Amino acid sequence: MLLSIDLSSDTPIYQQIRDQVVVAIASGQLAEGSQLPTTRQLASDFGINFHTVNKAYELLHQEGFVRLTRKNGTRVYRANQPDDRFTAGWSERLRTLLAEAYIKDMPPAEILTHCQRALATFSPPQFAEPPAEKGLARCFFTT
Amino acid sequence: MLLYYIITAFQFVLITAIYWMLPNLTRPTIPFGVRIPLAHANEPAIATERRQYRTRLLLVAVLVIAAIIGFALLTDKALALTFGVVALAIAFWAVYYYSHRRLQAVKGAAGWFAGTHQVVMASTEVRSLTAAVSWPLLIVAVGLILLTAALGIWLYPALPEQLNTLFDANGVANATTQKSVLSAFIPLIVQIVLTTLLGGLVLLTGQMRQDIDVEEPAASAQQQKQLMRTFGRGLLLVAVCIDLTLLLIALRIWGLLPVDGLPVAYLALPVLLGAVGFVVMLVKSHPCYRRSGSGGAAWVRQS
Repeated sequence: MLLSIDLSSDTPIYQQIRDQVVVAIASGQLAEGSQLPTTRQLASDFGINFHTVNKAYELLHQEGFVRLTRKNGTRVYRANQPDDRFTAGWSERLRTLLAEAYIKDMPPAEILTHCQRALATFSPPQFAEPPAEKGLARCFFTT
Repeated sequence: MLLYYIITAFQFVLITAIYWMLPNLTRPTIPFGVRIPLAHANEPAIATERRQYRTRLLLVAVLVIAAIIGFALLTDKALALTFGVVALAIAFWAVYYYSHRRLQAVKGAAGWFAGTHQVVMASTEVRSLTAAVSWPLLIVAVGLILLTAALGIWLYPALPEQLNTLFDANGVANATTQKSVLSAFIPLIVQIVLTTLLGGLVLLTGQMRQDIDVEEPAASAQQQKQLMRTFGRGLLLVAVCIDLTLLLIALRIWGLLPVDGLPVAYLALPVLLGAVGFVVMLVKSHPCYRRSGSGGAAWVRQS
């Protein structure tokens, strides 16, 4: 999956990375358990400071979208049940987004259509395939 | 001296060919090192600059070669040729840089990037340390080292007290040295050092920064992966060829290959073949090289 950041955007870079990872998880582009690149690799590919990527990963971790482990790195995680804290925060952000559209005189039916269209792009949880045999193992055990 | 002239002429032709091909080797969105939007890749200004660049290249080549000939007639020939190669490379680089500046000025004046956002892309695919390693080639390289070591250990007790270490162009030994572990195993040591260095380079290749073209992200990411693997394979192929050459040198020093009367050039043959193979692999993995139909392949001209 490809991530893109707009360097001239008003949205902070860490927020852009976080948002794209969340959408990619929801749409099935990033399956449950799939590994994200290291902060250094992603920072190097983007040409940005690795602290920025670290901040995005920390945010994703705090929100429960990824799990960080020393052994397995950063892996995608889809929690089954939203907790009350998440629901409250999400409702507040949704309210702000809906308010923006409402102020611009967007009809409620159109707002709902947009919501349904966005929901239709998401898919139920997928699970990452077990890692393929690597290196010497692949050389000897695959045909 | 004739051999020296041939080698120098080859260097001149090689440098000229590289600079001549350079505009075709770069991405359509980075002509002459200037980043431009894909929508402007076929601008007439770029085609004109390519044409003028090559005209300037030929003019500069004629002038530099004339200067070298004049310099060679007045002073030392070998010195003139050696500096001539360097002067030619510098002059060609100046021509390339001139085109770079001219195109940069055109881009700025025409505002090709006006109204666009600067976007950077990266893949979430995890690159392992061994991403560019070709295991079969690595096994062959290590196998050659082990074979050299095993043969050396087996032959060492029976080696003569004086070892032939240097040979002239006709394969006649012209230097000897006292038998010691260092003098007998020097090809093995060089094998280990060079294979380790090239292997390290392959590991670094796997960690290379990706530079994805945002206007063709999927194709660009695929090409980068392909190029990384090809580069890694090419480096290990060179390592295998170097190890083979050093094994042949070791066999010669240990007296298992004929010492006199056989030209030493054949010893360099594996390295030469490896270098050619490396270049062919890189050319074939270049995005401009497209497969067409059943087995045909050609360079796509960038107009």
